[in-house]
Amino acid sequence: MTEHEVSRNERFDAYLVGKRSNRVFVVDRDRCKGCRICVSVCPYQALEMSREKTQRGYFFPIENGNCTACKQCLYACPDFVLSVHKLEEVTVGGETA
Amino acid sequence: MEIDFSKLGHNLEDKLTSKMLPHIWCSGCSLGTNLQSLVRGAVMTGMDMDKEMVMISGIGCTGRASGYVEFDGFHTTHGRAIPFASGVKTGNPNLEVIVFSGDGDLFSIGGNHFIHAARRKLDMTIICTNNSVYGLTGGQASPTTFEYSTTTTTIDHNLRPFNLVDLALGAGADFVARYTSAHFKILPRIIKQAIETDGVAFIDLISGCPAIYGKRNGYPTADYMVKNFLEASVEIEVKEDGSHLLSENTRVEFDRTKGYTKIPIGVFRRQHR
Repeated sequence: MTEHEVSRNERFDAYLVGKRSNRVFVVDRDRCKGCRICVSVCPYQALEMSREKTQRGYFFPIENGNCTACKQCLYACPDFVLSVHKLEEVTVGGETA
Repeated sequence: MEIDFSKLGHNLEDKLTSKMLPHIWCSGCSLGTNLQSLVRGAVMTGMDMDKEMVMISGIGCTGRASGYVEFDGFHTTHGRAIPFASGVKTGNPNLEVIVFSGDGDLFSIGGNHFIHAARRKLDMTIICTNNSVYGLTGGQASPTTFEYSTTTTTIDHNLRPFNLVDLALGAGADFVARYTSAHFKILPRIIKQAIETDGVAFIDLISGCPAIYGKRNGYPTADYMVKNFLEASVEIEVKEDGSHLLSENTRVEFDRTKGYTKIPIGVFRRQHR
């Protein structure tokens, strides 16, 4: 497993992913309902469920370093939890989306 | 490198009503995936979602969908989504009308309206989230509940279900397709084709209700449900003599212990006036 960057606030987990580390994979913990669909559709086994719970009492997905930003989980997620952004669009002082 | 957390919303956040989310649907419900596929399909058409499209939904879990997206929309009374949509289309023919509703709403109380909409060939897109149960009211049998499946009103035996593709083909819809909610990769393209069809386009979207129907009928969890959909799906082979459209070749098969065993998927009819 490679070492990778994670930034967190009270709502979002943002992982730096992709082959050239230029994508940001985001988990919106407030919306997650812990259905595990993202874990089962991921073709690279990059997601696993957390051991702690969200404020609303659900387990949520965490990224383990294999993510390639292919967006399969994003399309499958029924709760609009996951998203993938370009790094330069979401950094402080970067371009606006 | 510092991340600006205010920019980390969902990729489709400007198409969704953010203050309504998280939605009311259960954990693992297919409706969210279907709604996201619909929004992606609508974005792919290149039309202005706010000005050129209207989304009408009926009553039920699926009825809530019109409140979560930035389409102009209306949440109609039970079963009357298609009559309301016919009125919208007649009043303003420039609008693209999308009816997004469930099997209980469209084919039980609204069944009559569906066959007449297909007969009249008004330009509208009807997307039916077919989960074989009345989920919102606690799991009663719906017109598409399978013959040997358990619901709160059918203990071990039910009458024969509707084959929605067969019904739409017989009533004369111009575009008829069936996919499952697990085909989220191809669905936006199919929805785009359906929206662009002049005439009634019908998509039978096989979906799951793991919390209420699945736990009694062989798919108790959402991740098993997605795998079950992908394993049971069979792409239809288009034949010269049209035998792929016969009722026995378009029927969905279901086993109470394993979930779905055969789902014929694909586009069954595609015609332009």
